[in-house]
Amino acid sequence: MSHTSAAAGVAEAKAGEPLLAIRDLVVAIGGATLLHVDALDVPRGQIVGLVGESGAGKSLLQSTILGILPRHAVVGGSVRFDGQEIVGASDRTMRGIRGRRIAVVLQAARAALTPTLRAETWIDRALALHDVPGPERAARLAHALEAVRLDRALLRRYPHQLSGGEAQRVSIALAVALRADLILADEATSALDVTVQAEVAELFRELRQHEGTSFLLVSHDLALVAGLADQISIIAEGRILEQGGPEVLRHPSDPVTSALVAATPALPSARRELP
Amino acid sequence: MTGDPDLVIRATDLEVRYPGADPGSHPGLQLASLHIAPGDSLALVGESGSGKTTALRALLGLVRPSAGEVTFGGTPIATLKGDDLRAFRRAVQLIPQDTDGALDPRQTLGSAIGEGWRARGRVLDSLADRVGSPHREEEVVGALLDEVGLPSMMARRHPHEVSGGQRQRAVVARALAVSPRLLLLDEPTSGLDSTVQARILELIERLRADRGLGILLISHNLGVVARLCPTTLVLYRGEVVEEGQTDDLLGRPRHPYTAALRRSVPEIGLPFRMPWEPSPDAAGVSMLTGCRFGPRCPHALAEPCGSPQGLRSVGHPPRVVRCARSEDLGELDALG
Repeated sequence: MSHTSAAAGVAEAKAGEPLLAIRDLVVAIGGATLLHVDALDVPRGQIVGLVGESGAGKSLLQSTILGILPRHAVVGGSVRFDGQEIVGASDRTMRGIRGRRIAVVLQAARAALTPTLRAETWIDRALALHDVPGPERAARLAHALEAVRLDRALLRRYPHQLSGGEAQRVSIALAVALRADLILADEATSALDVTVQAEVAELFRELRQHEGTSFLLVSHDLALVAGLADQISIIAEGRILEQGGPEVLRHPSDPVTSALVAATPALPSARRELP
Repeated sequence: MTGDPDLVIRATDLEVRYPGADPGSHPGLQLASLHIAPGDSLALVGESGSGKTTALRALLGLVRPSAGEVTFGGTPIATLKGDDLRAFRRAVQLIPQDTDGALDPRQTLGSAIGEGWRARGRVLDSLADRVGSPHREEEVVGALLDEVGLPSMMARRHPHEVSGGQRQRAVVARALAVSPRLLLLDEPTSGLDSTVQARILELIERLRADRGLGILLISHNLGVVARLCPTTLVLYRGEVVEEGQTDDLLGRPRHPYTAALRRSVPEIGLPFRMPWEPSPDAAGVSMLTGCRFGPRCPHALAEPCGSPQGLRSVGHPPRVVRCARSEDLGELDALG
């Protein structure tokens, strides 16, 4: 096999497997097993929703994927990202993945930005830290701004001068500029007004469609996850209880999922305008 | 209106201007009229910057209105002094959004709850006393914790030792310690899980029924609003754009902004709804001289949306709507 065809073979094999594949993952801290995930995949170009109550293990799972667990945490099993094992990977390896290939968008978007830096400086420095050369940085930023529909003038502002929705777009723009393959969105729209939430949710859908970005969407808003995600996993006490398409929330089989759905306050049924 | 007229809080032609605001700009808040009595339940909804929290602060007398007034039992609250002011402060209690910041991190929950009860003893209490003043503070705190569904051992805990839902319950217990008649709730369940939120909503409903409390709820969660409040006011950029029965208003909105809010809320089992696009004429509508929602409105026309909009009553049951096109547009599609 020639070198080129070998590379093509590897690429083909990679394309066949999920971008993120978690198998038999166990995380224990202080002797207590806090996370035990048998299997969870994020296929390429898909949005996977992870829902559960506080303390269910959602954030711990993200920390495991990012390799930022406390030093005394014991991790077993496998987390493969783009075909590469990242459980036990070196700090050097993780620095090349964390932030650049796996980006994080947090609930407190303004707190994620540096208060003393204008948004454009913040993005530029992050690109420089990830070894993106100067001339390319401007082109990537321009593309990212277009992708997240953010006015260039807003980038001259400091974080405190941005609204919650604008700060969230800046945070997402960095992920796009870094060409992140996977975005971990941790309650990314929870603090936003419903109208701004709808805009950010639509942005996620656009990024998936036009940029091929994959998402692990962590939220306690079941309806949002049901509307956005291709696949949904319900987590409680560190274990995945149920997995499936959006219909899993309409027809839950696990009592915990049923309780979560039942706890969501219903809206009065909307009627279309009469002819 | 229900309840004792002496306990009604009422805002009339209220306007609030923010310090340093451009004199040519709109006031930060304009409320034509609003009243809440014990037993009533009213919601204010709208996005950030719509004036919800300013309305709440004005009703508490924490900001001075630039026009109009807030009265309590018929007396302007700006003129209340001494025991009358203290009686107002006790009767109208705020449940803030940030329950973490609302509690002293060095004070136990029991001490925080007992403090309100101790302070109450300094003035003549003419209000119904549910807990009973002859009891010891420990018993009162235990009874209040029990009323909000917390075990009595929680009295010894500090705020950082309990969950967000438990903190929220403790803040409600502290408010109840002074036997209030009206609760002003500012996003009482934001940041809580849906199951915890459901339990807090049950608590608020039970307190309203058992104690006959009046409720003013501020929220951008329309599901919470629909659950707790039969009447809703929708605010946009400081003014009421629609007011009516909650089920009717959210089910069949008549103001384009209410419809936009409604369709922005995802629902299990319904397809994701894209954010709306403004109409081609919307860009020509000035927010300063015409409809404030005009520049974002999917139904805006250069005329009549270019002129200021007044509130008008339309439909059955009657709905108050601030839109010149409300008769043309009818009930709006909140799903499409």
